[in-house]
Amino acid sequence: MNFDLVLEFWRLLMSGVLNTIKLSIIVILTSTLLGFIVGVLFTSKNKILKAILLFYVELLRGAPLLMLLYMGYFGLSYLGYDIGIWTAVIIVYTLYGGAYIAEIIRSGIESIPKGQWEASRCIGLKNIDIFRYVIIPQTLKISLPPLVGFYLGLIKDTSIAAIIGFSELVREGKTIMNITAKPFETYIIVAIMYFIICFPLSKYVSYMEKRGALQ
Amino acid sequence: MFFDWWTPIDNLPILLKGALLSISLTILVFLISIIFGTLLGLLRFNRDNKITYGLATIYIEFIRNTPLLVQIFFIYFGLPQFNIYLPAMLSGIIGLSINNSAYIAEIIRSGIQSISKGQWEASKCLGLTKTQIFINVIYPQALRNIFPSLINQFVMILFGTSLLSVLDIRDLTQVSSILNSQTFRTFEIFSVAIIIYYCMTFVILRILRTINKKYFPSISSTEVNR
Repeated sequence: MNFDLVLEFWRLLMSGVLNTIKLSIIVILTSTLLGFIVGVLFTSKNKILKAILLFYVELLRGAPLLMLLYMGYFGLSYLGYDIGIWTAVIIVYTLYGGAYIAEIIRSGIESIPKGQWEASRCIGLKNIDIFRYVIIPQTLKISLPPLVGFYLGLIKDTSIAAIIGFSELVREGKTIMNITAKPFETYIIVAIMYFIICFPLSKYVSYMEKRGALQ
Repeated sequence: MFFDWWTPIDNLPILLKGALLSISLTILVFLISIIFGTLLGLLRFNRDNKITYGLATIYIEFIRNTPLLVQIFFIYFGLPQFNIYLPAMLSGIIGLSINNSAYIAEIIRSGIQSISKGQWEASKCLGLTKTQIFINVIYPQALRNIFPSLINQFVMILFGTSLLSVLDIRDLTQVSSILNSQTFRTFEIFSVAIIIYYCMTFVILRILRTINKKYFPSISSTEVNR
């Protein structure tokens, strides 16, 4: 056991942590935005639009993230789009997260009783206003626990980007392992870093779920 | 730029062989995780024994808050430092099982908790032992309640097996990435692989949902049938 040797490379670890957090925050924001738009559009009555959205959601939920990353990074450059790894990773994670979040939002919207729609229409609100003042606030309340739970999964899933060469925590861990030849200590430290990032969020989810169950 | 779709089609047998490995790994890991998950879930349910409850909680929290990839690396690269050398396949299976049994334990615990206390008390009055109550009364009902979550977890395991490609286990992901480096038909091969994955999840979900409807109908639907 020699944790000091690994901790000598704390700069590398910190840059990994920073990249993980940066990627997580960017992706959480973009995928939430995309997921919200797709989830709300699911309520439209246009069948073609619905079919396209369903295709998108089902396809991205039906393949593992690693495969999508391969496709987004290597596949796109094969097609001649020379995008950097940051762009590729952000695009893939956004599309991936957007599909899952769209499902969460859609089921949230569907769980709101129809009477709410009818009542809002009766008092003369337009569709946009119904969403803005009636549906979205209630949906947010219902969908928050699964949403935060998904963010938690997304943060952990950013580790997969290491496989295609994105230099985040796991990748830097591998570099440190190769320098120090101390894989055990390195991965313990990497795991603890992830734990520190994820544990508060997971506690928050279980707290929200408990509170929801009591109501 | 033109596409050559014959490359993935010619190599379809190889890809399908990889898919077969993916799905068999998934089933194996699912069965192992159900067994360990049930045990862990019981330890989490039984709050009287503080030590086992605490240990199970620490295990579950730690596994659930660290990425699968780190756990796999830890087992495959970390353990040899203590002269524990596991082959890639075995460490992959162990890593996936360790990861998923923690998730399944939480699902099963919530299932057990959803069964009302009256069931325990009524069975006790009939003179059943605790083990008998759990196996014959509580567990079947809990399974019915949590089966949809278990279906989701099954798909998550299938996606998890794609990470085992970092240990050079020739599942669908690794096979397609090898084919890619042999033929340089990146787009075509990865598209076909994604389609195969999509078909697998589609079929799995169909089968499991049919089983769910047939053997674990929800309480409300049985009441309607009566």
